[in-house]
Amino acid sequence: MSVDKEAEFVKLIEEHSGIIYKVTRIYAKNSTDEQDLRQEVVYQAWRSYGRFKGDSKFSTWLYRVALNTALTHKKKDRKEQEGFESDWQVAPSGDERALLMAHIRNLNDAEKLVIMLHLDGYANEEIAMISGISKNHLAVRLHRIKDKLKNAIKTEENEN
Amino acid sequence: MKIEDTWKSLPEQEERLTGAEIRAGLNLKSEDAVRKLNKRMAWKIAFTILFTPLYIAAMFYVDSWLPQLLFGIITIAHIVGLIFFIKRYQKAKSFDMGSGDSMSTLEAYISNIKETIRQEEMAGLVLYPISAASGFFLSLLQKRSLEEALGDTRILITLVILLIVITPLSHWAARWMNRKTFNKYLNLLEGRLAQMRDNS
Repeated sequence: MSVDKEAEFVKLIEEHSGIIYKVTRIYAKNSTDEQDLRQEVVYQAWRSYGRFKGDSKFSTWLYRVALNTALTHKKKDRKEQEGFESDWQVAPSGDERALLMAHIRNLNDAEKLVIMLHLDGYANEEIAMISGISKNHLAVRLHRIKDKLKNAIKTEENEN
Repeated sequence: MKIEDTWKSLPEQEERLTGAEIRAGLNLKSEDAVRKLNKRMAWKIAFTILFTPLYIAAMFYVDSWLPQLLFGIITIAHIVGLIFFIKRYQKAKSFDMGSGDSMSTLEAYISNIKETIRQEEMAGLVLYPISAASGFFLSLLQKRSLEEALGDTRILITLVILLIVITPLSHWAARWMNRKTFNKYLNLLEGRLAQMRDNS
């Protein structure tokens, strides 16, 4: 691709890198894996960029790339051998944001995808389009995921 | 805690990738599951390219019509297989993370890999007895003529036994190798696909 195209891509990714951070922080097993995943998302986005025709918003497209990459991401063997425990900090008492992130990380990969898109303001139709999950089931699933999250957070808050 | 409000308060703006970080990602060399699987597909192409000239050479080395015919069949099968692997590899490589929804993207990718493996194993079932017979005649014809070999019942019985043993054994070995090569990553992708389906 041309130098102009590359510059345009870099600028767009810079502007929307919050999406990449959110997805990688939730899907990665630890901070090293997060860095790898972030790079992988950029790489995959660059590979697919030539086929991005602007039919959807860039942010929606990037979300799709980031989530698809996260779903196919596999930690490196080297790290598996050395042990690949999570090094995410335990949420300090009272830090609601850290607590929320920690509990979203505990969801399964499909649940993470649904809740992230929902919390970022995507309508159920768009979530269905990005995830491939049937629109008819989304509202019920979403309700269950939110209940699960709320209960887990409540339990932890009560324990502290 | 209200989940929606807490999510909105996440410090998104503080975290931005720099131009240098993004440019580093454009030429990424490390590999994730998809690229590892693609690499393993490329190995199949490499092995086919490596072995095809050996069969062509063997075809010219023997001066008897039967092993020539058998090696000819194997050579043609390898060339067809090579074209098949290249097409499947191109399909796997063109896998676009931005083109479809997560579920269909995963499904399409997994199906391409699994179908490649399945068809390779099915073709193998036809090719293993031909390969075994060609090797059998190649060594036998060093000491006897083809007419003598074909006229000897013991030799023909030995050949049949060899084919009965070799074919399932080779099929099992090929399946074992494919499992070793692909399953680690395929299982990971299939596990995630199963989660998506559970939610669907």
